[in-house]
Amino acid sequence: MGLASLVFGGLPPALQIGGDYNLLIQTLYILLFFVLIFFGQRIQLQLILMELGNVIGHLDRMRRMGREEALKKLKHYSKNSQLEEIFNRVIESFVIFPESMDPSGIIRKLEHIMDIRETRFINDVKKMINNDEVSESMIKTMSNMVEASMALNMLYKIALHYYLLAKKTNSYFIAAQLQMQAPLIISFARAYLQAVYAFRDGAPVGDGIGPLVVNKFMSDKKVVKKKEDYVKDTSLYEIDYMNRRVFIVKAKGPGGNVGKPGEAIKKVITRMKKDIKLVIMIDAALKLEGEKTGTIAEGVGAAIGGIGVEKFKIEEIVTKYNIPLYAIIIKMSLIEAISIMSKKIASVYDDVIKRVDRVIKEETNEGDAVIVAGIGNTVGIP
Amino acid sequence: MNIPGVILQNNMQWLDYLLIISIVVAIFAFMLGNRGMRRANQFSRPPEIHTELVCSDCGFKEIRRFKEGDYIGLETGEKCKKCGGPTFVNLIYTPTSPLEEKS
Repeated sequence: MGLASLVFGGLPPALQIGGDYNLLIQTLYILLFFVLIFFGQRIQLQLILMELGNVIGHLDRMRRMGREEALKKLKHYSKNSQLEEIFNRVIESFVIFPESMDPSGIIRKLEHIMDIRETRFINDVKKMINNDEVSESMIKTMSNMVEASMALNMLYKIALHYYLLAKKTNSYFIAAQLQMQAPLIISFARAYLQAVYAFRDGAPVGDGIGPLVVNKFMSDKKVVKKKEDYVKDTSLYEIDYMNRRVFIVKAKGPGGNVGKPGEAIKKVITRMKKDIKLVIMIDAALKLEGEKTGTIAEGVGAAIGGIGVEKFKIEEIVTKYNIPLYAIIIKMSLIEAISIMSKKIASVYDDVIKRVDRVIKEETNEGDAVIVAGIGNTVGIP
Repeated sequence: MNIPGVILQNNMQWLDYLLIISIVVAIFAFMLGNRGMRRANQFSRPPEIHTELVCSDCGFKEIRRFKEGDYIGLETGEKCKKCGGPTFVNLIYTPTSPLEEKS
């Protein structure tokens, strides 16, 4: 007796035609054929929804982990009994971007809205902590941590929205679109969770390679002038290097901060006018798949991310005074940019400094003034 | 049912094969799914962070685990293990990025 007959107990005698099951199996195949023709997409939809259910579950776990880590850190410093209530309000907050039908003046409007948002966010974090002993730099790092937790929450909510929509409308195509994007969504969520950990610990993130390079560039040179708050959250240092005046621009650290490097560059150029012969920007940039993390590349243009306000300011001022704008980028994936800085990224600072030296030597003469801007988040980098 | 090239002793043996193949496929699917979840959970854990200390006097490098409050350039107050000189934080990094993708 075969295994199947042991498991199923054999087929009823009425179905046994001539001692074999040819007819039964053929009928089953024909039925299966029609079932797959008429219900194939439904079955596929159910399979996709099952897979998406796992994705949503994983996103939910990561969202809760991010939230718990952020709350734990805030509670450690907080003297406010309503911490969780404020946290819940902040995590659901939003920004309405200005109308772009008439794009004239949109940069100013955008900057204004983002400034308000940042001020409000920082104030909310201060309210959550309600502790004067906590430094401003720590508040900034914690606000970055809350932002990363917010991003996790938003990713989960968007994915859940499309999952439930596909379920509700029985739409195979909505489910398929979400399924196609699921690996990217999961990797973004992992990155944001890693960002929560990075800001919780105050350790540098991959995006901080720009400020790290300028920090190391200055470390063995004598700083002639130093202005900690040259413009909001941005520092300016002046060094005398190879008989050239070198102005270093970077966000103020070691708290989590990106500052306003565009505004700072604009202010220096407006003051120095054509004395500035070159602007060099150093930033992390997205690599293409196949490119190695930590690869350095040189080019021209404003190497700065964000919503475009700072980039606009830099491009406008260098164009006005006809100043060459050079960019040195360090390549990494988006995930590496917002996670704790990896050794591969951290160890390239020396090579970047050599390139900065070479560009200054090649493109300027003694007595000229140069701006070197390290763009990125300064968490863990003063 | 006759399958060309396969000699079956009786017809029930065909169903046996089907059953065994189904079980093997189900086990593989379960193992692959479980492996994916384990990888996903592994990526959700905080990475190990290293702090590289450098002696201001002799330049000796020492790597220790990251401590809260460490930042680049911080004079730690820890003595150099080689010459006893003051040390500062040179770099902070994670030795292997858990999010590293194959390239």
